[in-house]
Amino acid sequence: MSQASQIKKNFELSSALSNFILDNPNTLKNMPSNASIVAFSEHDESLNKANDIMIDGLLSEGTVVIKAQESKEEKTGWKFTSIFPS
Amino acid sequence: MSSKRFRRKRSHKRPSSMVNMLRAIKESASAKVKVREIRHTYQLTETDRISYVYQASEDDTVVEVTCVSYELLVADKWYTAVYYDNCHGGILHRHVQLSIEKNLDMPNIYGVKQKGTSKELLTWANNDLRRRYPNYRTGFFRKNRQYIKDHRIDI
Repeated sequence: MSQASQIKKNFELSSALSNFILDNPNTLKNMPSNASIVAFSEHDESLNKANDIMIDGLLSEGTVVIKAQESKEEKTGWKFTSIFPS
Repeated sequence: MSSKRFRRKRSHKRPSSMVNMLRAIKESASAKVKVREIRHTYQLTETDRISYVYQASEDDTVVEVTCVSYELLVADKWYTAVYYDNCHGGILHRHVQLSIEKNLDMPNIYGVKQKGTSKELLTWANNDLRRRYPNYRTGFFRKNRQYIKDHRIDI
């Protein structure tokens, strides 16, 4: 996946996620601070694969990552997982 | 006979009910709303990210857009290509980065949403970045072309 394509798709996803967080401010209360949020699509596997590689890079730099998975099965529409660097 | 000798001095004392009312108004005006700063960072690629910093009150109402920014990684350092804030007077405005070398930016309000709650302004800034980030990205590299060339930075 090209960088331009990844940016565009991630912009769309993160925009939807940030609007969700604004409407549901309790969402991130139990999550670590100073973390980078990476959004994952429910259907776009190529984007998810590129974002997985990006997460590996962030973890290797010592950045805490919050993985936000788009999921219609969840009541909120998103599932959050915190990943800490080893 | 002069009327001044027999003029009664008016009492300048306010009724106690008015004193209490004025005290209550003064106390409510000086009571500060407790706010907390909230920060999110969304990673778009290894070299692009969006950051949100805003102030929210105790009931999670957005009261100020501190900074909504689109940032680029150049030579292992993050630079802000453009950011929005409404810290001064509540008016949302855009800052466009002009120079990495001198850390200069240019504020403007062209096409920026002016009216609305802080939450609406925050959402608007988010959507504007989503629509126009290619322009901001291209503009950033064009404005700093010489600096990038002089320092032989790979982009």
